[in-house]
Amino acid sequence: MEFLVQLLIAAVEMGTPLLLATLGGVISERAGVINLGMEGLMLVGALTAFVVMLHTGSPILAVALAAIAGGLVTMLHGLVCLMLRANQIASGLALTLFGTGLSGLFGSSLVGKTFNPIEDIPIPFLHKIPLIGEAFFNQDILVYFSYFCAVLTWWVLFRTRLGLNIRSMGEAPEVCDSLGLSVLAYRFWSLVVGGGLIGIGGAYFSIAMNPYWVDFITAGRGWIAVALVIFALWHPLKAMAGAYLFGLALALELRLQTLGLNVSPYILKMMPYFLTILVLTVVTIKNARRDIKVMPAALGQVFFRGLKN
Amino acid sequence: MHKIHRFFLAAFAATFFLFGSQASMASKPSIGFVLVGPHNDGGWSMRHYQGFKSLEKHGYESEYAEMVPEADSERVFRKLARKHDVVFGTSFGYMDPMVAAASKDKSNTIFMHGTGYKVIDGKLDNYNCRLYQARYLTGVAAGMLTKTNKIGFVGSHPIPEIVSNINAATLGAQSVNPNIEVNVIWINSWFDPPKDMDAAKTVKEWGADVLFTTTDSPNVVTLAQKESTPAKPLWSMGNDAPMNSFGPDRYATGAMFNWNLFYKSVMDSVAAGTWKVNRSFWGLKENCVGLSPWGPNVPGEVVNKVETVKMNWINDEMDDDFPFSAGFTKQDGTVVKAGEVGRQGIETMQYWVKGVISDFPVK
Repeated sequence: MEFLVQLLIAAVEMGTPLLLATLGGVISERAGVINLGMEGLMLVGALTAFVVMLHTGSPILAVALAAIAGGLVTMLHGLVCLMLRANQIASGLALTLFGTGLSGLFGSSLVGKTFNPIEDIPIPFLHKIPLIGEAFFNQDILVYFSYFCAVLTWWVLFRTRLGLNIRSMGEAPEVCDSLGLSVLAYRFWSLVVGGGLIGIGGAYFSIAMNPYWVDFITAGRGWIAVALVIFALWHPLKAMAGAYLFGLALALELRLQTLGLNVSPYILKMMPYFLTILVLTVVTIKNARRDIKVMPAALGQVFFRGLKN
Repeated sequence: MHKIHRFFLAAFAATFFLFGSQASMASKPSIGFVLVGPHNDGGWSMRHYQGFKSLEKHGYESEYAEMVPEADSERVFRKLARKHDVVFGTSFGYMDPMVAAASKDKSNTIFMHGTGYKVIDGKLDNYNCRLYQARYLTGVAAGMLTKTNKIGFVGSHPIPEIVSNINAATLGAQSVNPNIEVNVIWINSWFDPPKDMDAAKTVKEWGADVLFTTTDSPNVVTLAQKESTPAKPLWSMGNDAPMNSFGPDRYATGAMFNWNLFYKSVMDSVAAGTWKVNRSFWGLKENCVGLSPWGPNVPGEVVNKVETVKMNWINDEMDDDFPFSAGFTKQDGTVVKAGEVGRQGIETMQYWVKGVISDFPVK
């Protein structure tokens, strides 16, 4: 029982930065823009939050500025692939390299500094629920914020006119355009808001998980988030389930060792990616029969006014 | 230690690597050195960097390249070899690129490879330090500090160097407390801070109250500082470099490298023209490894005991291969007699001693 409780706590902790980043990815990909710069954006967010926390001790300010930094760096991606209409894949990869270098450059003087990580705040009554209470309702404020973001993203995307417009940009931008909606504006701001969320995901590493700075503190989690966006089939609530499942896989890799199960670490390490391929395969086959497309139809496509395929 | 993980880090940042200060044309031989991580990584690469920089006061100028991916390193070695008398590479993964660069080099430049096992007579030597000796001492401290008789390790990769370190700590702890159990959680990475922290929590959940790490991330120190209570005290041990700043109250000590004297001896022998291949493997006696400063809350008796053992060792009461040379029991019950395991046995160690309860990891 204690083992399960601790496993779930770890799964939620590992899943939270993934969830925040994945939501960011979902928003921009729903609008039709691929963002492969997640790893770099998370690093930028992590560094910003670390610096702010170190100097002000205010987690709220740290998170807010991490979001702004994530959004600002994402604007570069928007500039290149939306305004200048370059390839989104190339621009996204460049963003990862850029963010990695940028965080390394400005972080190099911060090595060795530390502060108290943000505290866990138990939610009254809820945290006493057996098994899941400790894991979901005795965490820090960023974890609760991630629940809020997931629900809000779902509500906006699927229950509001704004969300309908955003999703339409990812399905049929030319239709939106002919209806008088600005494809560029919708896509750009979806991308930037998504970048802000990814930045907050990065902040989780440096202010909640590891309260010190080292180069490359995210250790590749941004790429897991890229996979999670697909795994979650571009749905915010499925992203929540997916993030905790991936978090569980990460937490299980270590805890299996205490159980004395000698499984090759390589098998456990590839599980998240293997699951992504599996889910994608199953869903694609299932939907092909029903002629449904899960992936936003115009994902990754450059929009030119008047261009017909 | 073999910082293979740095490859990924460095691959991303390859374009950002910088060459350090230009060496002046001094009369003393000059140094070019290559680091696999950033020079201020807080651990492995930082200790090498500090070692080389300490030579400046002796007149040995140096130039360096940091975050050099192993796959791209031969070019860097050759570039440095054109300008400098001695070229150092400080990661296990540089072994073959260094061999290639050294065999193509027609000048008098000497190549020195940190860790590894390949040499070229008159051209390329390798070197390492006996960190397991210092780890034994931290084990003695841990054996006295623990109340639960459980010691936890966050392990990086189960390579012989790390395995021998964990075994040495276990034997050290058993020397003062025969009931010690040691559990190792492998993160299978040199570097993954989030997972590293989770591994530290996992060994704590298991009941360990003295937390060790073999990675450069200070999570065990952070965790001990944050979660230690008077009823359930926790202690942490650093690795490679002092980590006390991350949790001063619950920091005990740590095994760490100190390359200054070794690098000075290499450069002095080059300057004197007496350099030759000898596969140096220095330890406590030569002050190539040591203990990081004691935390303020460590009981005086622990400090006294460990410092006494250390002095006895330095005064030759124990040999270089101790504790392994003294004989021990393996996890499976096999008895290893005194003198059976020497340097080669230590450098290829792939089993646990009795007291480590984790299974030996599968590959």
